[in-house]
Amino acid sequence: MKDSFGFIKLVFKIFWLAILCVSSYFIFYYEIEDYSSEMPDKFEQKEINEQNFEILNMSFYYTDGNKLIREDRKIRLSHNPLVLSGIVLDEYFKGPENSDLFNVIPEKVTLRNYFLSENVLYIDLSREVRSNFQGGILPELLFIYGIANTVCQIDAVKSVKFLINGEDTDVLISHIMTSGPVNPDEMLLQKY
Amino acid sequence: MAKKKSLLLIFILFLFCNLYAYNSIQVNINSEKIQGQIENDIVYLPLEDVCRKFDIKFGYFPDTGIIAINYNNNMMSTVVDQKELLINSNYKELEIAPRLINRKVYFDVKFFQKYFGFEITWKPEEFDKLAKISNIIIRETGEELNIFVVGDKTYSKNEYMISKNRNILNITFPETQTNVMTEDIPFSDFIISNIIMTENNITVLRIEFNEEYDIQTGPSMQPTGLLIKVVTGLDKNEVLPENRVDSEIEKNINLTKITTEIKIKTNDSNLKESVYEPEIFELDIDTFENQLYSSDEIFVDESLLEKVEDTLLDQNTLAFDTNENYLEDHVIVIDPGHGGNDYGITRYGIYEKDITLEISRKIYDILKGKLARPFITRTGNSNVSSEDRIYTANGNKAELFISIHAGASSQVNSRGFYIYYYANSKYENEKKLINEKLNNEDNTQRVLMELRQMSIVESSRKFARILSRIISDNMHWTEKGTFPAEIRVLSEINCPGIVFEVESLTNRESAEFLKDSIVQQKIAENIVSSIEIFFKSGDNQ
Repeated sequence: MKDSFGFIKLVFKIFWLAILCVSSYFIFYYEIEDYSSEMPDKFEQKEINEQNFEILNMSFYYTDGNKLIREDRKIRLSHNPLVLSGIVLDEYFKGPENSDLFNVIPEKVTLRNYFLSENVLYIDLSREVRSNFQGGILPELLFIYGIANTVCQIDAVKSVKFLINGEDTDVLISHIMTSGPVNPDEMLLQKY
Repeated sequence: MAKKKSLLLIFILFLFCNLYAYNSIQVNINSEKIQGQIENDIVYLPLEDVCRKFDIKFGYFPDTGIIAINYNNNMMSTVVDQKELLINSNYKELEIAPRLINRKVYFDVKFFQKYFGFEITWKPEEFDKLAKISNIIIRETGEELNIFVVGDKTYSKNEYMISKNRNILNITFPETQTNVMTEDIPFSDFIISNIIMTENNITVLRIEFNEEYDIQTGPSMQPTGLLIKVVTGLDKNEVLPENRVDSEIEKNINLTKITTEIKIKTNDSNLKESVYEPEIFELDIDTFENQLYSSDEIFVDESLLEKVEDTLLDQNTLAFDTNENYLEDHVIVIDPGHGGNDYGITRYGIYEKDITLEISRKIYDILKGKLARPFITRTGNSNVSSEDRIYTANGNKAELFISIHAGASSQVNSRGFYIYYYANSKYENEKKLINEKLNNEDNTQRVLMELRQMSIVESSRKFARILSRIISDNMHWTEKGTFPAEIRVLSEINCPGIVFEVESLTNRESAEFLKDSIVQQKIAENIVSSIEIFFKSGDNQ
């Protein structure tokens, strides 16, 4: 008799334990509903295609008219500094994403060529840089240092040398001398 | 024993429940209520709940962690714990990565504000976090001293900084003379600020945060911070620390000494407009002296501040007090910028070349009347090369060279003037090299030449400062900056020289203003006053 009571007690114990386990499962476990049917097909495709490269965080310097303002962007990383310079310049020429900022590069200016030699990035710009320039010393400084401060974040680029239509010029646009390579300068950066 | 254990278990459960309640927050999204979570001082909202409330299609793939949202025909996708966001195949960066909390996807409130355009608010009493002052940035522009107290956390657009206790913050400028006793403070009800002159030439700017008072920061301010504008008086003996480079000040503020805690509180009410009520405080030094050094203090490094020069102290009264003519026989070359085919900036039918010529002619006439020996690089609408301009200066043994230009900005509302002096990037290195060479005492002739070049740069900078002060004081124009730059026309002149960019021609108002002959005359008179002060001070030597 004693044994059979013991058996009933054990059954009850197991039963209570089971109830505890099941209730705790419902309390703590939350099933995520699957919404996969709402996922558009073309969207999935893009995700796969564009995930195949490494991403680099970079600051791009554009202007609010008075100072250089930083805009953080992600670009495709390349371990070849020349290729990376090209990616950065292409991205820079697209202009700012923030609508309050302005591009320092005058309209219709194109990047003719670029090459890297002894840590100096040579940037060859089309002649519109002069003809379409709005004028003023400050916009000229913002143009030079906007580009220099951006591309010199690349480890292999220490300074920038500007060429116009393939020619080395004493004065870039109208006032500022760019006969030598330009080093990045924080003078015009917005501090707050 | 079992009783004790079960009690302990209940207590732990109770603690967890409270912790959960503490971290949760009810947020209003376009007047719909959503339960959010606070983690590391960031408010997160469950994507699923928001999407269901606003009928937005979305998908989440637990295996890969990919989240896809279709909102207003914009395809967005991102991955849990990743900051990359793809919107219609364009990459954007999220400020805060989406997270999984209890196996649900949560985004921070800013994500919903920015990409869905939702109005998100919550009751202030439900959200109350402490932030500390992370930085203090000081900038002096003209007659205004701007102090920007930056908080180390930001929440949403409706932010307030609230002083927890009655705190006093002193910012000390050593070796600076001032007797400023007046100031205009936008939030004068609860911040008292004074600039005090003590016996040892120390200027202390005192900011007092009274207990539990809101300090409006405004939605556009990023990060959360408090901008205090102190308008200094126009007492002739008053001189604030010279214009400083912001970065230098930033570096040298000793942040470890700041212990003032400021609460950042969010509020769902609309931002109030602060009433501007200037007040004048007569400071009783005895009352404040005991408290002065007991509060939080920030010292601005002495080496960053220039000693106040007599020239600047006297600038408002100088030259006009005496009958002595400081301009007599001094050779000054005036260079009207551009000319001929080179129109310079052209806006609203106004050409930069005409404005510069008109101002330059007026300067020339005034200088001539004061028995100076002025030269002008062009007298009419002609093309003049930079080389010719340099030749005019060097050929006539100029003692001062002033090139007149007009400003331009992409921002059409932007106004103000700029002054540039020549300094090439190697200047600092040259300074060191010369010091080394002087110690070696060889190559004397060359060293002397280089020293001469350096003194020209130094004099140019001093003249730029004087001109900047005179123009901002007398014309009430905004000084945008005095910068060293490698300007071609200044590169080879053998005397101090500057380029003065008068008001912006891209701003219609200032362009019309510059066309006015009376204004041009006033600019010319002020430039001549600066030249007079410059020659009196002997800085041209």
